[in-house]
Amino acid sequence: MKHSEPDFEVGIIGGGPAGSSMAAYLAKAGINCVVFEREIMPRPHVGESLVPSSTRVFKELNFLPKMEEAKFPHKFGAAWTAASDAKVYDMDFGGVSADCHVDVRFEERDQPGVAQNYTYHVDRGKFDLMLLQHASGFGAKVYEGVGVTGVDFTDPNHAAVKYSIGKKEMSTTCRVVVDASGRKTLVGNQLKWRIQDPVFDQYAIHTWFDGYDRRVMAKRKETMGDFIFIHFLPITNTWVWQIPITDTVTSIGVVTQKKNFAKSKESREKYFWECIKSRPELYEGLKAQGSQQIRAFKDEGDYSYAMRQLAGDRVVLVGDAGRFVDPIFSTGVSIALNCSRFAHKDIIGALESGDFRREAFNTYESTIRRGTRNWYNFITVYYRLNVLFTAFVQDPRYRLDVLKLLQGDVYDDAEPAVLTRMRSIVTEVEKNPKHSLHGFLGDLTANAFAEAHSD
Amino acid sequence: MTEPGSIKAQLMPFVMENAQSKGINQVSDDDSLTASGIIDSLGVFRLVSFLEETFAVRIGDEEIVNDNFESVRTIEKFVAAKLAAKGEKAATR
Repeated sequence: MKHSEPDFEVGIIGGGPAGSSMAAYLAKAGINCVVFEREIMPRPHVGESLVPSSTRVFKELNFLPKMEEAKFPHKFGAAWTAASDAKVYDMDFGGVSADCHVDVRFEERDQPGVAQNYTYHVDRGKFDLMLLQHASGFGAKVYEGVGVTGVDFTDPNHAAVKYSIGKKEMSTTCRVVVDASGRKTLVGNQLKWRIQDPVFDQYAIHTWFDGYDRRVMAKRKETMGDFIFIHFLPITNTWVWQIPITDTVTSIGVVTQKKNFAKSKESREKYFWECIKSRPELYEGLKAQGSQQIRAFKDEGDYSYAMRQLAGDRVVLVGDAGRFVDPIFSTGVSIALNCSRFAHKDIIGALESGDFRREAFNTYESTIRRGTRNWYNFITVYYRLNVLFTAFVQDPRYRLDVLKLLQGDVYDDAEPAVLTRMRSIVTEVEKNPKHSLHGFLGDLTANAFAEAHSD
Repeated sequence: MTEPGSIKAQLMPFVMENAQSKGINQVSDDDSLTASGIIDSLGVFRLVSFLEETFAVRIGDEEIVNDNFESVRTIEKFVAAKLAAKGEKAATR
C-alpha cells in the first residue's frame, strides 16, 4: 500500500528569526512549508542588536529594502566602557581592566558579500513580525497562536508535529521538522539532547527607556550615539547592554551570573538599579528629567546550554533551539539567521534525495558547530581574561581579525588564528601563577578551555 | 650586545610616561611597577609590544612573569639576557 503524502514538506516550530528565515528560504525555493508560532505576533522579545553577518541573509531573502523602510537604527559599531574611577579595583573587579574603553567600527573591515558598513538594532516585536510576513509572502503557511507540544517520530514515513487547538489534539505531518522554538528547546528537551553549560550561568534583566540621552556614555558623542554599548560594572562578570531601539527609545539590560542575582536577595528591580548605580553617569542619564522607563522589567534565565546534536533523522535544530551561551557579542539573531542560511540547503538536498537521516544534514551541523564553537571560545576568552580582548582590539596586528569575529564571520575556519593565539595566552596565564596577568583572570572557571568543549 | 646603560635609557621614557599618567613622578630601579599600578593589566601588553619593537626581541607568553617584569631593574636584566641570547645565536650561525 502506498503511504499517503504528508501535509507539508517541512514543518517549522517557531516563528522567530530562525523559523521565519528558514520558512522564507524554503518557500522562496518553492517548498511547501508551515510555521507554527505559539504567540500572536507582534510580541516583545529580547535580543535586539544584530551583527553584520545578518546582512547576507537579508540580501539573499530580498529583505534589505524592508529593513531600510522600517527605519531601524543603523548600527555602525560597538563600544565597551569601564568605570574610569580607579577605585573599581578595590571592588571585586574580576578580569576586567579599568582602562578598557574600546570601540570598533564595522567599516574598518570589508566583509565578502556584504555591501553595507552597518547592521541594525531592532524592535523585535516589529522585526520578527516583518520577517514572518516576508516568509508568508513567499508562500509559507503560518499558523499563529498554535503551541506545539511535541513531535512524533515513530512513523518511518514522516514526522508529525503535535499541538492542541482548544481541547482538540491535532497533528500535522511533514517530511522534515525544523525546531526553531528558541530557548524553549522543544525537540532538544523531548529527545534529551540538552546539556547545561558547565561554565556559564548567566541571567538578564532588562527594560526600555524613552528619552535617555545615549550619548552620555560615548567618547565621541557625535558619531557613536547609535553604537551598541557594553558597560562593564565593578561587579564580577556583570555588564549592561545599551541598545538603540528608535531615535528616542533605548533598551537597557543587566547581564549577571545567576548566583550574583540570587545572592543579593533583593527584588529584581532593585538589583537592576543597584547595578546601574555602580556607573553613576549611566544612572544619572537614565534618571534624568525627560528619561522614563516605558516597559516593565523582564528577566531571562536559562541562558546557557548546548545540544548533543543539532540534527537527527527528519529533524534539524536552528537558532536558540540549538544552543545559547551569552549575549555579550549580540550573536543571537545573527546565529539564528545563519543557521537557516546553511540548513535550508541540506533540507532541500534531503527533499530531493529522499534521504532524511541525520547524515543528510551533516554540512549544516558541522558548519554551525564550527561557528558556534568559535563564538563560544571567543566569549570564554572574554570572560576569563578580559584584558586580552581589549589588548587585541587595540593591537593593530590583531584588530581586524577580532573585528571579523565581531562581524559574525566565524563559519569559515576551524579556528581563526587570532582565537588560537588568545587561547594559548589564556592557557599559559592559567597554568603559571607567576604570570604577570595571573591575578587578572576572571573567576568564571578554574580552567576555561578544559570544560569548554561540551560539543 | 648593547652599550652599558642603553637598555635603561630606552626603557625609562616608556616607564615614566605610564607612571605620569597614573600621577607618579618618580620611579626608582627597584620600585614594583605592578604593585604601584604603573603597569596595569593592559600595560603588560603594551610593555611587551614596546620591548619587542624597541629591542627587536621576541618575548614568549611564558616569559611574561613577575620575575622579569617586576621593576625597571628586572626588565633591564631580562632584556639584556634576551639580547645576549640573540647575539650568541647570530654568532654561531
